[in-house]
Amino acid sequence: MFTLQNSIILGLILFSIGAYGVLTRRNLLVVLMSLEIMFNAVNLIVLAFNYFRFYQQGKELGHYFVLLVIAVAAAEAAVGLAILVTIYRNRRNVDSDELTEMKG
Amino acid sequence: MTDPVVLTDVLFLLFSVTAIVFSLLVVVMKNPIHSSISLVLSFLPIAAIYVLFHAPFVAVIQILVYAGAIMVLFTFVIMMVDLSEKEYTLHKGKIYKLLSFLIMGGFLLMVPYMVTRFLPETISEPKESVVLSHFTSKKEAHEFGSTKNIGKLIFGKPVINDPVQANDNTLKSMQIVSFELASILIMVAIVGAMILARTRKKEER
Repeated sequence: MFTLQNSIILGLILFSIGAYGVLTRRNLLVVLMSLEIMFNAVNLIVLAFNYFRFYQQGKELGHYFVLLVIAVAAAEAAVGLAILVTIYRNRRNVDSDELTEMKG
Repeated sequence: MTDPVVLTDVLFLLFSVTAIVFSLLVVVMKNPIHSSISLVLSFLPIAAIYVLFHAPFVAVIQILVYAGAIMVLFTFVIMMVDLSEKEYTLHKGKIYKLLSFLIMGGFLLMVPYMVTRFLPETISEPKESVVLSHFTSKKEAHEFGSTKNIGKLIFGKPVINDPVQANDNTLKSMQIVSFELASILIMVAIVGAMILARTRKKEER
């Protein structure tokens, strides 16, 4: 049960759940939350490969890579939520279907 | 070959099922507060799976940063943004819905490929007895993924007055560049978020 294969499948399922949320939800807050799920799925797969392939050599570079991804995700969440607050201040809602100013 | 079911298998199954269920709830729930709470609850089993991967430091950082910092950020924004007046549902348009189902199905189609590519016969889980022979000591195996080892990975080994070892150290601590770049990235993000979210007094009048 606890194999590389099953870990990758878990990561793929989580990634597709996150992708589905990003694509279908209209509330921008939930879109950002689904992005975090996708980051987590990628981190899970990286750590799975690091454990099942490089544990015997004692290499931990995957852990450091995941830490960098977490830092990038934190920065992304901060900037994304700031943009969301600005959108709310200007339009009084956070509906992604109503953001159509860029349409030609 | 039927391996006996060990504790890690049970724990992995339990945590993965809870992670999938709560991630689905994030996407499905209509109220964003419910989504954010289930997002926290989906981070915790993922952190537990990180512990199963012998990455305790990453698991702690996951709980501190995600369940602590990012979720507080989300909850505060939900409090600032008043969503009660309007129900947000899925996107309008059947073509859009079909397209997103297709993209999600495309990712899920990778599952049979992964099943055949990484068969459990070809890559087996590192057994504890095999692992211990690869590490020089049992202590070293227990320190896999610890704060000490990751610190060594980033900053290199502590320099001793030995020119050969000092030279070796500079090669091994190249991760410090990306480490510092990440700190610069976070600082830029803080400044950018403050500039984006501040109230402009001239425009509001």
